[in-house]
Amino acid sequence: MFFHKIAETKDVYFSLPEVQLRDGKPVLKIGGLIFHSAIVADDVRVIHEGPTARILIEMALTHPGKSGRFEVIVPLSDSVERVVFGSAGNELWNSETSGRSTR
Amino acid sequence: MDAILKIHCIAEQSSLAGHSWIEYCPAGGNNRTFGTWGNDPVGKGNGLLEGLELGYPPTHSRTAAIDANQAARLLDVIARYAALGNAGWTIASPCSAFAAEAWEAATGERLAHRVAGISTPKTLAASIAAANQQQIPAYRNGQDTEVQSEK
Repeated sequence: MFFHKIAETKDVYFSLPEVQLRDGKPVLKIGGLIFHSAIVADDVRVIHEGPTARILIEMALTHPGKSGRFEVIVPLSDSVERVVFGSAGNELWNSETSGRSTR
Repeated sequence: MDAILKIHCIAEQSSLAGHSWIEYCPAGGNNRTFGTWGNDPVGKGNGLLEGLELGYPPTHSRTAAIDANQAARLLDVIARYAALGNAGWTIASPCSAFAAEAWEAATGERLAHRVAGISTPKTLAASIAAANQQQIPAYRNGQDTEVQSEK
């Protein structure tokens, strides 16, 4: 059986995004669970497209060594204004509404 | 009536995707969800897990009021699956097999969930939709009403 697809927000049960400091630099920590019980997060990538960081998770049929749970750390350099998810690009975070503060 | 039992599904076009689970709501107690998982969702292997589905919106649901005897049968199935460990989830008998079995044990209502021997959330969701359309109450203790999903 074959299943390969890019995860969209509807495929994921997200935990709350959190801005943290790592080595003195702000990062956005985003975690979640692929909410298909037979499907794992096979590959996780962050692609930078100008001011946008896009999280792409390739889903696959479950296999040993992989989990449906994932955690992504996105460095929030000054040029990153928004973080979006999947091919559809649903926004998870933006600097205007969320800020970069770790408080 | 001692509790409310719900069966939930997320149906997807692909039979490999989706999820099914049950939600047990004892009178005066906290809601509890139970589902079997095959994607090692908490890093401790596969099988029955409690609470992962709380708050997640399903695409299909069915609800029944159950008494103490029915709740005891439900908890027996939960205990049996818990004892299975990793073997509580297989590709042929995934989350939908557990949810349908737990639901049937408690309510007596059999919801079709297999095609060619393979259980899927998609087939179970179709059965839930069919049962809801027929407005068959799902609370008759011991009745064995099979609801066939549309193929």
